[in-house]
Amino acid sequence: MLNLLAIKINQIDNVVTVTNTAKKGEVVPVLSEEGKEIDKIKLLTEVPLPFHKIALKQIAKGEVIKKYGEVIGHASKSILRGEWIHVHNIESASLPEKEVK
Amino acid sequence: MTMEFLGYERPDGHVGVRNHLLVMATCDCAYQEALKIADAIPGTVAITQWCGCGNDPMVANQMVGIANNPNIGATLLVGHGCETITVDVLSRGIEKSGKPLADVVSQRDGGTIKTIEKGTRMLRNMAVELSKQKRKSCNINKLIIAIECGGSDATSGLAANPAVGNAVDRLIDAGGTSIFSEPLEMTGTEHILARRAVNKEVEKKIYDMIYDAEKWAKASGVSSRFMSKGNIDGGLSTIEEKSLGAIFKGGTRPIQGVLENSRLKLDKPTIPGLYLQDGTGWDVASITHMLAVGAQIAVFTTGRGATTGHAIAPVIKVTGNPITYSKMEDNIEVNAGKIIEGMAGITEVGKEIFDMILRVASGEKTKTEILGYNDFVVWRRDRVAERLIQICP
Repeated sequence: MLNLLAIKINQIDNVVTVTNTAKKGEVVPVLSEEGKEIDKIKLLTEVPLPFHKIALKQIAKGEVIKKYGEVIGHASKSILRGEWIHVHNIESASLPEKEVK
Repeated sequence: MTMEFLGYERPDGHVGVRNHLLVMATCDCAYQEALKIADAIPGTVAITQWCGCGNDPMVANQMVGIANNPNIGATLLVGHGCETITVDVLSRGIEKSGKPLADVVSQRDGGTIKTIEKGTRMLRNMAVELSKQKRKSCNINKLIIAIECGGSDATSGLAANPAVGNAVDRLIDAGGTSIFSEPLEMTGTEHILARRAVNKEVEKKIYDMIYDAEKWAKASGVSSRFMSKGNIDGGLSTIEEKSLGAIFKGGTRPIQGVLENSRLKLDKPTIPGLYLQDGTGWDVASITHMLAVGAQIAVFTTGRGATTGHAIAPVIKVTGNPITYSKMEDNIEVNAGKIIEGMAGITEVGKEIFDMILRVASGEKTKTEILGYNDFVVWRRDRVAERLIQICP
């Protein structure tokens, strides 16, 4: 079983990926790209499956969500630090599928 | 400081990391003779293209590209006689490389036994010539690394691909070249890739390549922006997050160009740097495709544990899943699973992969090479479908 950790892939990201499932209230160490512990986050919600994301900081509704140093979507509602982030509170910012002419 | 590796200098200025003696059958009808000739001279590689005997320039271009790959020291072509892509057609493309080249043709040379006898003697003479060649110190700007992923899982986008991307950034910064492909897996990140294009022309080509890939997907009845239940359970929330996990294996540096492959041309990298290739997500064919434009080594990321190798190039395996690594250490070189165990950072594993690339370039064998993997498939587009969906060049 994997240790409970969160990986921050890029230093400008506002989300981190948790390596395992976790219960509300657990404290997760955050590791940087260099593998150094840079933060500890107390979970406000459960993380129901491994490799899901949590917010590293408070994100207002409509604000961009960044992973890999890039925008992966917008917050569809306001999100608190330590909250699970997934399809219930993030929406794609990608262009709509281009129509076949 | 200039970085160097020990390679085989070729007459056309390219540098091989291996010195393979290639027996290339023009079509499947000549493959039995090719296999028997190769069996007689240990250490040779026999391949064919498995696409029939018709005239598909995309197939011919890739076969020429494979023989011209600097990992090949010399080539014996084995023809049947009545095929369209004949030994003469291939020879015209291969002889420009200046490397030893010869051919036998069973309909011309008197059937299987005489063809094998003649071909074996030619191959023996080539083997003597190759054995005299020595590795020399070469600049890293001669190195082209192909990046591929297969059998991905949730650890691929978190550990293996970012670590390989870090190694690619190191290679590009040192003056080397890298190629990655699988345009369908870039869907949703076209604006991110386009932003990294070195000029407007490359920017347009990136959009065109990814939208064309989407047309292919749509014509076959699937949406490339579809997120499967497996994707969502694995923690991927949006299409751009999913695709970023894939494209991150190519690092973060500027994109020099889009390498096209059509009936008209097979583009190769022109100056060092990072390139995208308009190719396929079919692993072995995708690696062949990148080797056909000059890559000498493939780096392959996997989550579930791919075993794929290649007939003419070393393949370095990287997994982000520590459980896969412990189960399949016989197949996998680098354990990027250390990242999710908190034992190493992405940058540290990136350095480990980069160092391994240089060692493999200088001769260290990969696990697929030691196990004797000789995977080879040529990719071709369906020309009828290409016309129907109007992306025919």
